Amino acid sequence: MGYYSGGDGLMKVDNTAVATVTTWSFTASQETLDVTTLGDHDRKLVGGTRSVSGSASISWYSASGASAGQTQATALLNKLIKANGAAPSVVSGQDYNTSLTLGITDYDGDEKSITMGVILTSIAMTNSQGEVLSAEVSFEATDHPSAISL
Amino acid sequence: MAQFKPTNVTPSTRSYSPGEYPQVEFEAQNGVKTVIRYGKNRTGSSLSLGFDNILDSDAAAILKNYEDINSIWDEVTFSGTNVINGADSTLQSYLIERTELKWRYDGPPMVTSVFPGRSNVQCKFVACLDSP
Repeated sequence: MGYYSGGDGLMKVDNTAVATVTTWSFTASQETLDVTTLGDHDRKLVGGTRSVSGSASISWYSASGASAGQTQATALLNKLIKANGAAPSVVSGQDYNTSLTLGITDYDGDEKSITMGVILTSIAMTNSQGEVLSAEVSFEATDHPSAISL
Repeated sequence: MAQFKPTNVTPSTRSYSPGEYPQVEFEAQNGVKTVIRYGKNRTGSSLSLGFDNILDSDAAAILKNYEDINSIWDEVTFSGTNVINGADSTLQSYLIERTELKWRYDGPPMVTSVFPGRSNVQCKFVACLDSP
């Protein structure tokens, strides 16, 4: 197989494969520094900071004997929403951080993915008639990806 | 008189004011204004240079230039540098101050680090009539 589709996709949250993910996407961006000077007729740029952000849609699942992979919507929800108002660690920020792996499984069964620490910036949940309850999760990478094999 | 360095660094922004003529204004209570002029040469012209996203080594060279020049209260010349790049020759003659005015640093350069290895630098110069 040369091309891949949604059926080949995979997503892991803190190394737990998410069984109920329906879409994921990420965008890697590169800022630029303008070094154009007086007298130039063409804009000149050099590379600045890089960043990665993205989103995913995860169906909410609840059943007797549900596996960890099936309940990641709840796990992610609890990372962002703190019912008791608990303050996360300001110094380490560990309570905010989530390890996210996005990728595909290739023709050989090998995983081709990108792994990064992220902060969840939003989770949107909508319950509507005739549709599966799902969580729309947005995230931004906290640093450079820790691994990439895509 | 010392040259501004590094000579090959071109500013991203440049602001120039030709200064004013030495004079004193008196305004009477009835609104009549009287001006006493003390000289025919303008003075106090100013030049602001902004160097955006330049290499840190160039920023350091500007700081070194400030130290070299201001430690002995020397004057600065922009002739032969890229400071006047992009300006028409008729304007360049003002920017380098062809009159009795001599450029000096009007305070230390301001360096703002914006990226590893890159900085923004702001320099201000003032040109006044020196006593003979």
